[in-house]
Amino acid sequence: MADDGNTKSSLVENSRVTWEGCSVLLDINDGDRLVFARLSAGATLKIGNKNYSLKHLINCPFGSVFSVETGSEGSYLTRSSPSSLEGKNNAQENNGCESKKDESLSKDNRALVDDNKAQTLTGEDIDAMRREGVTGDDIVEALIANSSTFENKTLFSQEKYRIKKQKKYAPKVILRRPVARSICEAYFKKYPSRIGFLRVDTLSLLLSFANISANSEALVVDMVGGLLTGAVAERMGGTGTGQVCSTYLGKTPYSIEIVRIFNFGNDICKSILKASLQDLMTSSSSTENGSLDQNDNGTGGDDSSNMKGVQGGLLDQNDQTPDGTSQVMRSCNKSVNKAGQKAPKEAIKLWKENGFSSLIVAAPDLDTWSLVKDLLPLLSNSAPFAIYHQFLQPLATCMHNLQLEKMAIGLQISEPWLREYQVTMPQSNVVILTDPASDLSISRNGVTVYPIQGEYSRDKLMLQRIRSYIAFLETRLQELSRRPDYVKHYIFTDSDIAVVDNLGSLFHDFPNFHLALTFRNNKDQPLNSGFIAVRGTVDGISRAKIFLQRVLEVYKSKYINASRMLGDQLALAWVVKSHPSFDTRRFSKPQPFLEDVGGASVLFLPCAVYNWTPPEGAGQFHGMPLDVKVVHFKGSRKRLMLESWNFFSSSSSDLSDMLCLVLKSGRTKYDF
Amino acid sequence: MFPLDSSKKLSFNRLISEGDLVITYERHDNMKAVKVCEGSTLQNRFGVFKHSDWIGKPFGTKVFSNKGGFIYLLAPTPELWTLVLSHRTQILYIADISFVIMFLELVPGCVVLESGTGSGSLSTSLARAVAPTGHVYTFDFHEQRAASAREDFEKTGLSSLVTVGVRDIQGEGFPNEFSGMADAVFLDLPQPWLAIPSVAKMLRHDGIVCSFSPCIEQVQRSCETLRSNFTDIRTFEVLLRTYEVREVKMDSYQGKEEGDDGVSVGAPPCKRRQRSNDSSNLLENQRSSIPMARPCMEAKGHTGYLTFARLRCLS
Repeated sequence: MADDGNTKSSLVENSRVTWEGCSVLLDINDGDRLVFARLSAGATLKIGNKNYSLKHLINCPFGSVFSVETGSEGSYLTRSSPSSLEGKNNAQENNGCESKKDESLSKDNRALVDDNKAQTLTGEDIDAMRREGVTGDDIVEALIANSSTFENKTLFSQEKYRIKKQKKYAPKVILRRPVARSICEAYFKKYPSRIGFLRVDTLSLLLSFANISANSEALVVDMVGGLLTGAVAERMGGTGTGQVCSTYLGKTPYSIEIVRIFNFGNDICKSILKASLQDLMTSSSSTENGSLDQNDNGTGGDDSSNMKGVQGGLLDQNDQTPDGTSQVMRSCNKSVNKAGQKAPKEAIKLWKENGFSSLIVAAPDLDTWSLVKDLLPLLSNSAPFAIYHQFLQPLATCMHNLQLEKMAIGLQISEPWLREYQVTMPQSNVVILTDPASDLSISRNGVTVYPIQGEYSRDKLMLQRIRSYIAFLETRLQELSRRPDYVKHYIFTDSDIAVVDNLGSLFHDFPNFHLALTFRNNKDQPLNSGFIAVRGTVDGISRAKIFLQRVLEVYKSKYINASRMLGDQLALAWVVKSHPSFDTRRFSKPQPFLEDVGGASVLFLPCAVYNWTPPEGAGQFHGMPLDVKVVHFKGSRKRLMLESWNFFSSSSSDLSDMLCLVLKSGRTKYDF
Repeated sequence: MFPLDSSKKLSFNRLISEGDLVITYERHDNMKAVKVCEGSTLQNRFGVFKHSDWIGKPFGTKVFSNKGGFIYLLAPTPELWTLVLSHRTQILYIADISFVIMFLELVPGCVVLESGTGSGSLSTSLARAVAPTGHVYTFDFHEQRAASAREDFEKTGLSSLVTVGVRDIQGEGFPNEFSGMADAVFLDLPQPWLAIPSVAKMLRHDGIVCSFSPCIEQVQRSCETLRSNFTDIRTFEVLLRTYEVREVKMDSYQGKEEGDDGVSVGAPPCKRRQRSNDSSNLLENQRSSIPMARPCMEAKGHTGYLTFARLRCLS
């Protein structure tokens, strides 16, 4: 294995770090612009109206991110440190999540007036800041601070605004490796007609169907600018004996300019050859042996073939031709690459004797059938081939004729379909109800600290908690009276609870409850107060409030002298059990059930799922059942929570929610 | 499978010999992998085929049975193998496979880790992509399945490229000996997020992971876990729609008007056109037949989501 590693690292094309003269793909502002470039001391990149030298990109790992910095010599590109980057990504991700039940989501654009007066910073101010060396990120922050309308925007448009300004004042450049995948994606985005609308999934199918591997002898008709030739050569990797022959009709080879964008070393470049179809054909018919073999098997249909084609994903006009004269790589003509040399006579002779092992055709401008008819006899026995066309009809005609003439078997036309998905987790907001005297400074997206006046002494803590819940619900009722359609559900949890699954579904799955409690099969303390869900409707909140007020009264009148951490739970149980129709036997089965208690429809949820406590063990958290949605680190287990927090924070600073812990990864065993 | 040894390249001159793996092709939907063995026979609805008749024939040859039925003997490729291998698990098919190979940016010399091995459908294509200098290390926690996969790689001649390990990757992660060695990692696990911390350790700088999951909930959880160490997290779904080609005969517009046999299949009545009596009438009178394509009735539906991510650049 070590050997493999060494062989690999010695190859230019596989290097993970850039070098002088290296070809790169620059991704500017997350795919806004894609630029192919060759790194040299003199090379520059234009962003906005400024030119930036690319010399700082030399000797950097691929995947590095660069930002603009201003120094004494003006603006230049500099590598962003991973930590600052993470912070930024984090902020973006959190801001970008749509299901936030944050206040700003409910904002709208009714108050915005398009009079150009919202921004108080002037162009001169910004120029002055730049001269003083203020970083782009800080300029963006200043713009936000000086925008009178920013605060009133929705979370979405705030993020949009930030991104827009960031693109302008703090552009981001990612250094990408130019490989078949990234080159194809970039061309498909920028100049799809130059690559015959060949999408990356289609290209990958062509390579698979044609069985391209290190020792292949591949014949290609590449009228897609060299993308196909390059992709085939990349698969062969220059480590085997494989060669790719790019053939052409007439006297002028088709441009394979895109091949230069790949960072091919000498071995790969040498494996890319050109030969005119006429040369390949005349030589093959001039030898008796070759033609004899062919005829023998030709009649039997000797090609296991997979034909594939695409109806150009977007049925665009095909009036553009892949002219191939790529303007992208103009700066790199001095390159030593000698890819695409004329195939030497010996090579042609060998191909003629043995046949090609694979064929790929991507020639949107040639008649498919007549071309393929000439090409197939050049293949060896049982060789697979794949034909691409952006339109369906040429492939249909070609396939039909191949079947009629019994030239091939296993023919199939297929069209790949590709969809990219945006994936986000359902997200919630965390509101921390706390003593105004406590000094909680938490600045995280989706987390708000909500101080409530009260008595927070140790022996009144549980009492105060119920009071705080009630106080909070009152504010929600006021909010609802102002905005009746602003329904958000709430779940009160202890601070030693970790939510590890989506609880939002609770409100859909059980549409009729006002509040939800968790129960276990414990005679004395059947209910735990660590988890109380409240439906965010006026009805839900007011009934939950009345219910909690009742609990508060019972607590004060009956349990005020109970153990100070227990009183609220006893009161809770008393309120429930005192209801005449309530059957406590239902607590013995861990099944959710609905029951009316004092005018509120209460959903009882099993602790096993909604308020699960890990078994106490020797400082270890031994995983949890898969269906657990809420973990409660009761008593001495709080230590485990703290340690899992630390463990998680040390492994990554990307903590998206206060309640999303390492537990979420559901590892079966953690040793802290 | 594919030429590992350059002397064994597929060529006009290469003939089927004892011990070769051939794919017997009856129809596009009826193929079988057969190891050629002098004394053996293959029996199917077309009759009995003697292997001894096959030896010495070139690949791609049509061979006949005692009853005169015929099949083709094809050289195996990973694509054909995917269609004939015995399914011990649900397997990945060509569209997903080729997309994975492309997005993992595999080239000869790469080291790839895979879990689970399953039926080894993807492993075969991974091996082709990294051959001859790279290697595929594939893990399955099912001992017997791993053994069967090993046998298959022996059969397809890939055992020098693929190593099958028995290991619970979700529970234990990948072996530490591969730390920082892998160019790419592929996960096909029920709870891929469990393995992701280990994947981050295994990957080389800028390395890529792909996770295949049928359900979006799995994808959500994986993406959430990936966010801590990975960037460029992208999720795709790839489908393949196949077409059938038929020659369709259609009466041409003028032809019908001229034709006096009165067969007018649902053609709307149309205004008779004035026409000069020249030779073009003859042509117009003919029915034209054009090969045309239409989507096949049954197509494979959703297979799974492919999530790719790149190890965040930290150095």
